[in-house]
Amino acid sequence: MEAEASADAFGVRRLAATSEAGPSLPRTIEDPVLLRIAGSASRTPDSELTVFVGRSDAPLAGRLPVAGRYERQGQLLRFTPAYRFVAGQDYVVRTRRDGELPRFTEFDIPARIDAAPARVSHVYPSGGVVPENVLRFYVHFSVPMAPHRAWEFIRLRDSVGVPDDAAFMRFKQELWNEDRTRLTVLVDPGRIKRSVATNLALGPALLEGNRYALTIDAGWPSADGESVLPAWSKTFRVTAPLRTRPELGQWQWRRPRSATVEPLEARFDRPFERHCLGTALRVAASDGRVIAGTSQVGENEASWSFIPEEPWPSCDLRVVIDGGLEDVAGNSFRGVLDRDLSAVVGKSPPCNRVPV
Amino acid sequence: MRKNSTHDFSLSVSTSIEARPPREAPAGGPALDLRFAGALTFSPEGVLFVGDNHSGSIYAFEVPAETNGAPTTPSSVRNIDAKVAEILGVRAGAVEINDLAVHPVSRDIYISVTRIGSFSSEPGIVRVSARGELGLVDLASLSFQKQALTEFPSDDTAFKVRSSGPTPPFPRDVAKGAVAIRSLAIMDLEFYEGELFVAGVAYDNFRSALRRISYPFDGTQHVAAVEMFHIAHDQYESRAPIRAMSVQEIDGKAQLVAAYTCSPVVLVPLAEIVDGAKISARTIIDLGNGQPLDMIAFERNGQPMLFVTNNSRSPQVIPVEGLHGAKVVTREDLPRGGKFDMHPLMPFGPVGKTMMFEGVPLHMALVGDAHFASITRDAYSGDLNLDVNPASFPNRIHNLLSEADFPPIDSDSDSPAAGG
Repeated sequence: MEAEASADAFGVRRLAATSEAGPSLPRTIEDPVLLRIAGSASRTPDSELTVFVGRSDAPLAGRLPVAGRYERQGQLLRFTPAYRFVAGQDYVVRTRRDGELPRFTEFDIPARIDAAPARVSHVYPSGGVVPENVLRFYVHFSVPMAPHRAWEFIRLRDSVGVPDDAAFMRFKQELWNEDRTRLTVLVDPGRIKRSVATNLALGPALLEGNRYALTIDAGWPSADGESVLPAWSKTFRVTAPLRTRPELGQWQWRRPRSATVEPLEARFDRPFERHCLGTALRVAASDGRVIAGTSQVGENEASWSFIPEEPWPSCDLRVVIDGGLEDVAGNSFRGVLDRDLSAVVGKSPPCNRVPV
Repeated sequence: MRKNSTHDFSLSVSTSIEARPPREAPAGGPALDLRFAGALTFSPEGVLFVGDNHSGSIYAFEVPAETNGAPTTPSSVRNIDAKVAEILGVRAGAVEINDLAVHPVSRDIYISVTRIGSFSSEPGIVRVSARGELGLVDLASLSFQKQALTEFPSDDTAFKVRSSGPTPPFPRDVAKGAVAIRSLAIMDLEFYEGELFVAGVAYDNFRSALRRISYPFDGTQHVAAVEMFHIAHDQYESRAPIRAMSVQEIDGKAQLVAAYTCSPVVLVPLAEIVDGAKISARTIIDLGNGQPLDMIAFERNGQPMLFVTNNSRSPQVIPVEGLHGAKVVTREDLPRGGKFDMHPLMPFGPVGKTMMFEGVPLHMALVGDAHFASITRDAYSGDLNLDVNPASFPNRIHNLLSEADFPPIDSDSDSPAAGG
């Protein structure tokens, strides 16, 4: 069999006929099988060209040929299957010429999966305003991205576009999630924490009252090399630093009515860190039984809502909050990231149970 | 470079030939848009009726045939589903078999199938000739008529999820709950004296319905709701559809004999099937639990009989003679409570005889006047086979080992060892 095997971008085996005597094989499920034939039309078409399901390494005896339509146009015999070929299915074409042994040519049609182009799908904090001591940004991509390239493309720029190449921590290992679609961009804590060497030498990366942009220059390839990220940027305004623990007393609650599936809603005193927020709040009945349902993080990560699977029971609800939940500046109910070394912090332990 | 030129060559040719357009029905009729090939039946003249539960239509194809003078003999096509898959260009397992019917003239067997693709499914009709040759029927080359069903359930009405016993529903039960009710719109087709009778569900509240459509189709159809008393369930039921039926002359009039799941058999006089009617079917039999598959009319020693197959019981042969004057049962006639198979009253009525059938006869039809064609799931191998066997004993015997299978003992020898 004079066929040449090659692998396409998906690693799928493909066969392409290279001999003038062999059939021309379909490349898509719409294509027919074509065979250039010798002049005489004395033989029946299916004795010259037959398609079977399967491979040629299993016996063809007893297998029935794929049903379809034969057309002869001059020197060309064309076979169109009654049903389109199935992507991923092995087929074998048997061709036979007068006085020759039959030849077998395998083909399959790779499933075409149109990969989504690389783009930035989300960034957190998602709001247009961040505190001066914001600790991290999460950048989400539509497809897995090529690793070890982030710092060629990601910059913090000031309002006139001047980059600050010392703004972010550049670990040897980039902070990716498992499938490399989410990168954690950590602001150098040394720039944030007051009285630390970098802070003293370079000053904070972000200054209250100014505008900055998180930018990604064009050209970062996706992991599969199929697409390239276009230029992207997110502009934000910087407000005063957040150096206190979250204040539960300032959260506003919207209580649902019992026997309904109205959402339970909370409006926070500040934006929280997006990914902890997804799992940090649980809803329980007054007897401690956890209530199943779906939670949703609201705009700017400053609110949250929960819809129960079953209608609400008629009892008090408790929202149990993970004490490790951090705000966008890394402060949690357990403590603040950047403690003022000149003051003594003494507060009661965090109350993380909320009667609703 | 040669590889590229081959590719270009193939592209340039494939754009130069137009696919043959599907044949239009005569006189500006509808285009062939069959989306599902389900229930099948033939008219005595060889019109093949095909129930399309996806689009809510019945197609009638004129299937020409030459008279087959040869007598019908037993035959077998092993792994019929795998053979159909080969013809349709897919792997074994990517084919579902939906029904079977036999051409009254040629005695060729027609099988409705679904070809399951990656993202969609397509219908097909496969013919098996009396010589056991398989071929795909080119429906586009046949003249056809199409009748859309009135009162066709919407595609978002589904079953409820039900589990058996105290355990939560299994995934298979949940999957059943997602089945669209419209897939039961056409359960069985029966052609009788120029009219097509259709059992199934109509409306979104799943009402069990009988439809009556004259052929050639002229656009008129009657839809009647059917209620019946279910002996085993001890209640009147109006939602679950008739699974299999046959028209018989009973008590001097044409009546539909119809079998339901779990498994009442009822009578409905054809005269009562008029548009908008609410029919109270006459319950005369309860075979016991199980789901009927087919009801085949045949003759045994000159007597009309009904061969009722079931997915969970042996076939029942019901003599039509026993249905004349049969007692009609209502709720007042029996003690309260469900009556499963072990209840003393079950099976109830003129049920006839249970027949041996080896394997599960998933689809069955009469061939000629004395043979059954059956697509049977083999009890041991699980193979799906197409068999033609005599109606008097419609069995494969390869799975049976009885006295008859043993070699004869030499009667002249004193002991078996002496022969060796």
